[in-house]
Amino acid sequence: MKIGINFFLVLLIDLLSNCLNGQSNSPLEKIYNFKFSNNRLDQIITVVSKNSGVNISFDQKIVEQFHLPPYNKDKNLLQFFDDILGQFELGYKVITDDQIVIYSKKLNRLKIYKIYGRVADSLTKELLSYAHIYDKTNQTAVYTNEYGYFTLLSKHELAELKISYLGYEAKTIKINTKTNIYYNIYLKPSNTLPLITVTDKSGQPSAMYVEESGTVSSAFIKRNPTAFSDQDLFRSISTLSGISSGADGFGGMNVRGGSYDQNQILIDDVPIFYSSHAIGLLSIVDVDAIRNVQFYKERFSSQYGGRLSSVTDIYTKEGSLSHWSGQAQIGLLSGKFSFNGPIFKNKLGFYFSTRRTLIDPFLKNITSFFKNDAGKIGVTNYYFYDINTKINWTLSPKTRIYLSYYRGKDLYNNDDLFLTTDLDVHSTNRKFSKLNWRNHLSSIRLNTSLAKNVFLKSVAYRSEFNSGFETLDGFLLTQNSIRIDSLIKANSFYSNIIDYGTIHTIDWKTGNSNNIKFGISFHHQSYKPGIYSYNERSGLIHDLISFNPKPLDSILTKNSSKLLQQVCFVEDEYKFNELFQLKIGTRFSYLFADQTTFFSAQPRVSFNCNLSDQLKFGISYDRNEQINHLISSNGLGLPTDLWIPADSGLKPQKSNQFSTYTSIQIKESNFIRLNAYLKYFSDLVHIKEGTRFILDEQDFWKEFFITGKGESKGIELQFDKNFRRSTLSINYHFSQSTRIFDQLNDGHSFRFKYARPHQFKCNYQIQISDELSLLVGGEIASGSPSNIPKGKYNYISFENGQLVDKIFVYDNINDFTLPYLAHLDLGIRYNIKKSWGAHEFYFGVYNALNRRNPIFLELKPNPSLPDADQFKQVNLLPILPSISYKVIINQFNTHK
Amino acid sequence: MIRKIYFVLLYLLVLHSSCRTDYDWVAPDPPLAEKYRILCLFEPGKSIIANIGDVVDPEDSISEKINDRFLFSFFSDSLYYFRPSVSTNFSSQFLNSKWKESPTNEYKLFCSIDSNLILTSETKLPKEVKLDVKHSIKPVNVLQNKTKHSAEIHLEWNDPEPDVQNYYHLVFYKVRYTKNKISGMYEIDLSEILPPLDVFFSNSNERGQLILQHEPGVLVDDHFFRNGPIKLDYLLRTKNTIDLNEEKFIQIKAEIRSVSEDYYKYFRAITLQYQAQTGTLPILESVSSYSNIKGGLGIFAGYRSIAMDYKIQ
Repeated sequence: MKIGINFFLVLLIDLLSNCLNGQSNSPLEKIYNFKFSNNRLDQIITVVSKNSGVNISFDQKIVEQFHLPPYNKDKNLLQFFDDILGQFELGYKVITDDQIVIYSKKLNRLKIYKIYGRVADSLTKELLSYAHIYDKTNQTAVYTNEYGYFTLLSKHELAELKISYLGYEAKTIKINTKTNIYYNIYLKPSNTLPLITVTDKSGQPSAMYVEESGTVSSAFIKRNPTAFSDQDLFRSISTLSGISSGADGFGGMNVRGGSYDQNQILIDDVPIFYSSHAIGLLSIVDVDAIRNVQFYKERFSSQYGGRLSSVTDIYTKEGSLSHWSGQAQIGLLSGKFSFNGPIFKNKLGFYFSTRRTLIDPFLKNITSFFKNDAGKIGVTNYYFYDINTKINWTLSPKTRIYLSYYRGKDLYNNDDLFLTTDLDVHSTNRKFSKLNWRNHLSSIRLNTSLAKNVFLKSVAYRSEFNSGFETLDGFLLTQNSIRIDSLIKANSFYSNIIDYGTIHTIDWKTGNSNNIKFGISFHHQSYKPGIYSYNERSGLIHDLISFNPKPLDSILTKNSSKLLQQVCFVEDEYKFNELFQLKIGTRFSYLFADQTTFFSAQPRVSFNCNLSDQLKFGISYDRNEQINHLISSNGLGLPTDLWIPADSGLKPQKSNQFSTYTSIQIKESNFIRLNAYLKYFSDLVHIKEGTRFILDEQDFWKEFFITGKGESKGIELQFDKNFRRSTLSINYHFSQSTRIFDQLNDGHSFRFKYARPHQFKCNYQIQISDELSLLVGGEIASGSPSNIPKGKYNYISFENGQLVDKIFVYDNINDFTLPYLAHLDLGIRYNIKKSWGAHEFYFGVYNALNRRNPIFLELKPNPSLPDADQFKQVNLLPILPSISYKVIINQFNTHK
Repeated sequence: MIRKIYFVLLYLLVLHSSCRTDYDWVAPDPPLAEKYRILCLFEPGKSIIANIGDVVDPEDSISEKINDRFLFSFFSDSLYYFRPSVSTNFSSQFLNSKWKESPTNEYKLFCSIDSNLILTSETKLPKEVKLDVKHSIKPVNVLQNKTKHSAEIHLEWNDPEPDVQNYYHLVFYKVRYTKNKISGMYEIDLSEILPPLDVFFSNSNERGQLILQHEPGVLVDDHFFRNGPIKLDYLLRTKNTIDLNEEKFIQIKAEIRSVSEDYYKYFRAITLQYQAQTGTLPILESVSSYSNIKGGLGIFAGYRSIAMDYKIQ
């Protein structure tokens, strides 16, 4: 009987649908004649589903209890459901044109289902941070957190999730939320090379840097041509709008009018004080060792603090838990290799990477050659290395422990020895300079899910930064081995900072619309700055050749300072509806410094409005505090700059930033974003003009600093376009940034030295074929402000009336503007995939235009006019080719 | 082979990477307003020493020819005109004039050039103070003939005005003892002006002190001694070698000048500027020169000095 009725229903619906629908294509829009008489609802739905071709999901136990009264109408499917389901307190949800879910409204009001788990790489099992998860059933979306975990709350028993992550194949899974199990979702790396991005209608942004979440993808990093055949994180981030480098790519990042010390850089939750090799050419962390990077220049999460202008949160790779793999690369400047794999499969993973310069043996030879040519003895040498290791231990599916260690060093030294003999008089002239800096970072981190929607991160870390700079200029005159005359002038800088602490953060997802984060941390920092200078010590210098400038140990320990800081923060991110989102939080800091305490509250608020999928805008306010100051001695961002802690005389520096953005998507592949910001700085520190400070007595050196304020404002315009096989990114930044100190420039405000009013950057990448890609990057920017003399006069000695020297006259600070900066960088990458991995060849040209971008100007005697001088422009990098070869092994063979 | 290739590549790179290129400097708009500079120092009872010169663009050459068109005047309580005259003691042109005491201890400078441009300045002479200076001095490593000789000196005095910031300029001279060829005895040679000695810090305690670059001696800022006694230690060395057969190094003259703040700032600025330019200073940012001349540049300042002779023990 039932079968007979069903057959009749099928026939009837089918015949009539063909008559009534004509040209209609969507099954949801087709008109059917529904005619039932007292049938069970579950049977009706089954037949309708079968005949319409639309999958209709429902809970059998709920639906089978209902019977439909007689019904005979011509309707489309949705109209039919509207008619019949309401009376039973049932509802429906259209997932796609061919999928509908029927649910009980009564039960859905009462029950929330939790979907939680992790997203990881299918090959290495490395967790994927900020992967996008779109719940089609509930039409909500979330990102995994920095550790790859996510929590979704669903009102429906069944859910369809689409998971996507740049560089991986998107995946769709259907899950039954009633079971409430923990999901491990694995994504397969995409065969499509990461340069191509695809717009995702369900909300996954196609830009490789997502300003809302701050995610910097590996594709974003790899799209930039390199300077020395090695991809670099901070050079890539510097291509974003609002960011300038100090001097033609050197000297760190200056974000929205802030100086380079105002950038918080975290590597596996460990703060670092100097982030570059080769004075800014390369970052201290190898790009291939990076798992995830978040970058923020506004709308800071309250969990971040300690710096004023930006946050770069870097997580390094953890090591595969399934198989061993590795890669090696050799280039003109450096070589590197890495390997990772399971010590115990699915339990204990290990990652190791290291880099080192290869150029130093050759550099010694070539410099020795040039020095010999000039009649001198000596070499110039430079090298750097770094080592990055990590162990990750999976205690349980919800708990992991990580041990991270980083060690890096740079060393530069230059020695010039000039020996002459005239009859029995011997002259020894020596110039020596040595610069070195080191970072040691270590941390232990625990990630665990305390409950399905509560996540804990606990970190204990130690960060140590050491830098030393020694110079010596001296001569020794002897006759018949007897010293006639000698003079030594020497200077040395030393900086030693040890920062250790512990951080505990709870991430609590109370609902799909609400996420609360709170935490507490303790930090201890000790500073040992040392600046030492002397002119020929008492006693005679007998052996100039072996003499080294060294400070007295007692001096270095005299100037040590300590800071103790306790921080707690709380933050709530609430989504009112699809239109409005609000994030509000604050950070409280209690600082003990130099028998003085500082308490501060740092509120952060951001409000976003999604008017449509294509149009968004937002406003935000951030207050930041920085408990140390960086005193620059050279304006070039060298590691010899001195870190000093805040104390009673030098308060923590602060900033207040107001910003707004508008984001527009035109069609599917065009993105425009307009940002505007206004930033105020206070308690900034500068050295007094002409200060020659010697840190030989603890009490006096702090008097050499003065405090002041600053202001920065600007607009940023970003345009991204995705073509079929290429992407174009253009941004423009207009800004004004000033500083004011009572004791500088007669108390008048002056331009900030890193303020370039106009900056235009462009980046284009094209996938010529599956193996071959072309990268183009360029920048044109206003010249930096600078100080050059406006005039000069002779100084006549009062002692003997002789002309002694020229005295230069300067006007307002930073009144002069250097010539504009421009460079064009090109790169070609050729990637050959093999079954075991890949070869990658890279050829690039940095500064293809060979433009000599000025770092600063100096005045030198004019060789053609004896009494006159001539300005010379000092620049660093001419056109530079780079070549590298990389081999990637996806999986080492293991013994069977 | 690879080593050779690398060597050649680096060689080419070093040759190619010339760090310095010419820069076409254009005079700023507006140009520097000051066109002249005055260097003028005075000490009570002695001639005022002054020099006038041009201020030019940074790339230009500077001519230092004194010109009759300058009309220079210095007055304390009354206007005092004089025509400039060239001092015969110096190779460069210096203007000399008599000093007149001002009852208010304030002194003004007035200089007219071409009847149009007027340069003026005001300064205060430091108060006359008595310093009770204790000293010790000893020779250091006197070696054989024809070498430079050194002596270590320690000077100490109590701050005469603890609540006032005072500045000092210390200059040390060698008193020349030459051998009388007839008697064979060593006598003070009064025929020459005393040559200044080179000064070096003999320990690391350099706070508030700066060895000057263009003038002999060292500047001292007593603020850094925190109202305690001013203790100074230096290594003094002869500029030239001494032939012990002809002369001895057995006495020095120490001149302690109490200087005005203008004096201190000016000489400190020009020394720091020189050190920044020559890279001997660990701070490479430009240092502005100091000036207390209105309508021009330079220095107009006075000082009071006391001189003491010390025998090297």
